[in-house]
Amino acid sequence: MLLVNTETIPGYNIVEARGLVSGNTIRAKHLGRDIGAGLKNLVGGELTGYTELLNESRNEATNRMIAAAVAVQANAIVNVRFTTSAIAGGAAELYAYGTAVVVAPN
Amino acid sequence: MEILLGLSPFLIMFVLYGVLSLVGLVMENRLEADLSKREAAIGAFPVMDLSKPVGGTTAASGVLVTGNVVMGTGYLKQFLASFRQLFGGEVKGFQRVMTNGRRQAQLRMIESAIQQGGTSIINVRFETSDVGGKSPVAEVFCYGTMIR
Repeated sequence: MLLVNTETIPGYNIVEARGLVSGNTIRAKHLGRDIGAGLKNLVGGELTGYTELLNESRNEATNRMIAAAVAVQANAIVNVRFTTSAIAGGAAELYAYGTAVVVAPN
Repeated sequence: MEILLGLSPFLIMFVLYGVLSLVGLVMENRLEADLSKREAAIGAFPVMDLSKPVGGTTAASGVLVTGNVVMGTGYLKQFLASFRQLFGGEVKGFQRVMTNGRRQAQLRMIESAIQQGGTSIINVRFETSDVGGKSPVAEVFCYGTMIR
């Protein structure tokens, strides 16, 4: 599965569009990580626990999007976009979407 | 003497905050030094937010690359910013944190592209979101399409 956030893929032609695919996940912050991050935030700087948490969650959302693309027999997703929103204190939604397409090398 | 004893919990808090803030400042300077070092090591790697490579391409493919970081401001800056909000104006402490966050996220994206053999990154997008609830904690997420 090829993923790009451009409208075309260099070296490939888009043969067929299979429509919008998306994936999302909502993650609550882990209590242990929350305490760790709270302590770290006394000082400031990067909160590594949260960086990893959001990274893992975004990968999960991306994987769900890929699964949706596989379901419509696409072999690439173009124009991928990500959004993040804080929902009800302490939970964040990660959302990934794009257009599933069939591509062939040119 | 008794007054002093009565005040001691506040004094201890005050000293603790002072020490933590000092540590925060030292760490911020170190982070900036580290970012500059990594930026210098990468040199001129073309990163742009155009949707197509400049002057066409003979590239074989494109791959999505990402970089992210969650930055906390620290309690001292939060405290100082609450004063700033009384009078308005630029909150320089936060500005520095966000600038460093963007540099970090962009560097991580570029480093991941270099690791995968990329020669440039196009269509770069930045996204910033508040993940802290009450305290100012923000995520910077950076993504683009790597060309090789």
